[in-house]
Amino acid sequence: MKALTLELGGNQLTLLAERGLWWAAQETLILADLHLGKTAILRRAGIPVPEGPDELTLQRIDQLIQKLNPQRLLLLGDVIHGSLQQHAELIARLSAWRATHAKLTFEAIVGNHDRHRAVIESVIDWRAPQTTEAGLIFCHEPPANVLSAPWLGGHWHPMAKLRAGIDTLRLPVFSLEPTQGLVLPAFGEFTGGMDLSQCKGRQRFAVANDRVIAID
Amino acid sequence: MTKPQETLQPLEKWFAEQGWVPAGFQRQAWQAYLDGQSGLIHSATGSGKSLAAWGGPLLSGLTTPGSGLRVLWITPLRALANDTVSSLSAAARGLGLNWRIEKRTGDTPGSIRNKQRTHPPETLVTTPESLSLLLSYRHAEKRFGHLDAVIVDEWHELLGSKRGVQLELCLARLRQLAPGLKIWGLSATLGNLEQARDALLGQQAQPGQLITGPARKNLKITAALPQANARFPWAGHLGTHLLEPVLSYLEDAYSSLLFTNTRAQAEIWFESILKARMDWLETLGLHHGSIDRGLREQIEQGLRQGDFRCVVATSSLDLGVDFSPVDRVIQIGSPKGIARLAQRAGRCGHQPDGMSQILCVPTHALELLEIAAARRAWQAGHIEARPALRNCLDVLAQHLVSLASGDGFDAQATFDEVRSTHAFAQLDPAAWQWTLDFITHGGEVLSAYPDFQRVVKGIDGRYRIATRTLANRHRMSIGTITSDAAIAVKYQSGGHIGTVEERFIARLRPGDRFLFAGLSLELIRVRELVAYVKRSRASRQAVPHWQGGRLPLSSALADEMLELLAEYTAGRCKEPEILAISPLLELQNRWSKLPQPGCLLVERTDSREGQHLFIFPFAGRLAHEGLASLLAWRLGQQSAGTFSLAANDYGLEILSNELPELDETLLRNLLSPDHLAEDLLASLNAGELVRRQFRDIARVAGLIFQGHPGKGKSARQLQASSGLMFDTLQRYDPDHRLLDQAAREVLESTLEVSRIQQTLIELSQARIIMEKPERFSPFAFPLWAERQRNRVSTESWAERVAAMVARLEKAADKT
Repeated sequence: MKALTLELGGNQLTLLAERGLWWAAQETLILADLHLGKTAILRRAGIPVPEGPDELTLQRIDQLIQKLNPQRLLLLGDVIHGSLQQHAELIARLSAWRATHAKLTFEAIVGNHDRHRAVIESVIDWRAPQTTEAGLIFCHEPPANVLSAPWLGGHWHPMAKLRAGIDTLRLPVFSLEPTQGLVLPAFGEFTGGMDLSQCKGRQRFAVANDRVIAID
Repeated sequence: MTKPQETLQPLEKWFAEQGWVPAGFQRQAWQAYLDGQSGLIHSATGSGKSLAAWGGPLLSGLTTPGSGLRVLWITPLRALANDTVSSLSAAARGLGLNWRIEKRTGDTPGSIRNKQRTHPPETLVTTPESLSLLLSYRHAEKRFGHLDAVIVDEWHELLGSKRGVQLELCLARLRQLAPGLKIWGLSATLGNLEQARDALLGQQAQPGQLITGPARKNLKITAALPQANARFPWAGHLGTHLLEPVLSYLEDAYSSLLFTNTRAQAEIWFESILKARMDWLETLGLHHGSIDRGLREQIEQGLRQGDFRCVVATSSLDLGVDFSPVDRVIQIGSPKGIARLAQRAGRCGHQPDGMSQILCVPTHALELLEIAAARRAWQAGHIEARPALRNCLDVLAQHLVSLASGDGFDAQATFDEVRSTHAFAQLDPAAWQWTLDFITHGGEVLSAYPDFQRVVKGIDGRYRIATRTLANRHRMSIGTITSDAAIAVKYQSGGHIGTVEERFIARLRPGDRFLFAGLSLELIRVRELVAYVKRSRASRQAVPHWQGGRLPLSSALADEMLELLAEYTAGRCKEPEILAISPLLELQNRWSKLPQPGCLLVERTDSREGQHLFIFPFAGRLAHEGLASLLAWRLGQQSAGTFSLAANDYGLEILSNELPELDETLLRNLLSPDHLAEDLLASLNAGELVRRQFRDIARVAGLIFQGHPGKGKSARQLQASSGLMFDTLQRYDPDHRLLDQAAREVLESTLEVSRIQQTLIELSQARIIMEKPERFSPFAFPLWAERQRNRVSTESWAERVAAMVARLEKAADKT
């Protein structure tokens, strides 16, 4: 795995090819946009998408925890996709999964999809929409303007279309924004994405298989 | 048995009062109807087809009074509904039949729909989608039980599409609801009329009639020729270099229709004409599928009244009534098919000499060859066939959910009913069971779709929709025409202009200018599927590029083209179009060779881009796309590499950094018809075609839910892209039949596998001519110039990523 390290507000942050961020100094693993329960909500609404992506998302978190041994997991919003009221099995599964990482602190910034977070209150400690820590602001939606400190966010599910020679590929990206912040790619399996084009002051880092590469 | 003279009498009388004489085929159709038969009537436009079909129901309306809905008239375009209602009403009144004849389409207001439910009119003019929708409500038997007849107008437009399949299913339902129902179709001339009839009528007790109208009208096809010695572009797609001759042609006419093949082309021609003739502003119209419907209707009305000097249109005006004031029809670019050309020419009113005239404006030199070939094919009576589709499980799934939303359905009876259609006559019980499982469990029973709910089987054994919310959402998505999510284009200050595909708007940023509906607009912002714009005065704008609308060259036309080239080579060709491009053909002959029947021309040229292989099988763009991907894949079996592919109607291009030396043996191996389907599918695994095809299927089958233009975000939470859905199904439910269907559709429709097969068999007999021109030849150049990049790689995804990473890092090192 070839990772890439950035400095933001005096903090060293490692962009992981697994679509997450490793904050070594704080022993914190940062992930954005899991959208757990999305396939279940779609099925309930009559859209036949198979079960499976959630489990893979959790497995991929397990692998990262094993590899990095963090003290804390920090989620940048949209942990769940919507109301899980009618999906008791999923809530039970999340609680059980949480229990396998008993020593770990679980924190999450509230995202726009997390309105119905009450049902997983016991799994995660929710934090305010813009939380400051060690000179960084953690948020879900990237702010429109510069904040008092550099920020980290998600929400956009950023992707980039790349063209090299005669080949084109669409890859998830981390995006360092002109507004002094970093947008993380969506971590969840069933999330899709939004193309983020090149623009002045933006620097994108694409996740290509097992490495992260600057593309601007 | 009734006496024909007596029963046809009221119609004969009305005809005589109008000073008309019924044509033989009209009498034949009326009598067949009175005898209780069903059938298909085909004839040229404007020959009285509608009255041939309408007469029967009117006569039986006179003799057997009754209330309730008697006749359904299905029209493929809702824009036609108004005209149809008024012409049907005129005939009914003429016969003294006091029938209510009303339309019901997507824009019929709720109050009228309610009234139509409580007090049904005797005749309802509607579209296939609206009929599906009607069947998704309860009490269908009460509504349709008294139906005497369904008449399907312009059946050739529906045949061969999923809309046609959707209608076949609805007709099967109606045959059950109304025993003795008569079904009549109206069609333009097609190469496969018997299949067209069988698909329309489905299985029934007696074989249906096939009634032939008068012979085709005389049609004069001419080309706008460039000035002597004028350089003619080798490639291009706009044709505006011929603006001057077109303008003078328009000036001589009273009213003209100018057809283009794409909406982008229509926008550009409209703008170019207006720039050249500012004083025509009031009398110049633009008509295409993305323009606001109200505006389009105004234009159609204006055409009928002779208010327009010229209307620039796309296939949106292909159908429908004649515009009698129109005396000239112009076609920009090749019509790509003979049937389509004849249909467009038929839009203009009837000249006294009964001659229709169409002026074809070539957009590049080789299109002159196509125009000459079209004229030849027309004279020889070669009209294309339009094969009916079969086993579209996505349409079946949608139909079953519609039935479940209404009265519900019984599995066994509905299986039999569905198999009575032409489209599903061969549906096997396993595919049927899978479709039932798909709408009830989400997929096969054993696979993982917990909590899925859509259709449930009640204790009485009937299948019904699970909730009313689901029924409502389903009704919003009924239909089979799919497109990119439509974005409504509106003025900031209010006022709807039309809709445009999301893909185009996504490329624009606020402040960017674009040409749309003949207006120069500036994008302000995009919110919730609405693009807000204002007028712009800038002169340079982007033109939206719409998907679809690009038909491949038909086989009939392609064969004629090769024949013309052979005649030219033999010095026997006198067609003015061919003579006009003879310098170009000479050049092709000098640098390379001219394509000929029975020969396959292969050219190999090196450029800075890499090594190009050009092959010219003349099998149409779709088949060439498939062939290109097949050849690239087979080449890749010998040495891995990434290929860039291009295809047009004449040939294909394969570009790679390094191509192996190709001798005749190797080429023949590459072009072998053996293992075609397997190799083609294997080549597609690396391609994006199946994934792209899945978009439409996913929408039709209800796997993805699209919001509606201009309607809030209530459904936002339920949105997932078809690509994501495709990947998820491939991973967690690889045996999903809709994935198979996507592959099959790509083979059959997107790549025309049968045409590829045919081509390869022919090529195995053909002589191979290998040329190595130093530069791109006149036939190769259009491929190079209009390359639609379509990557097919035999490297795995990981290898491609690695290669891309290496290139990116190399590029990064330089900076």
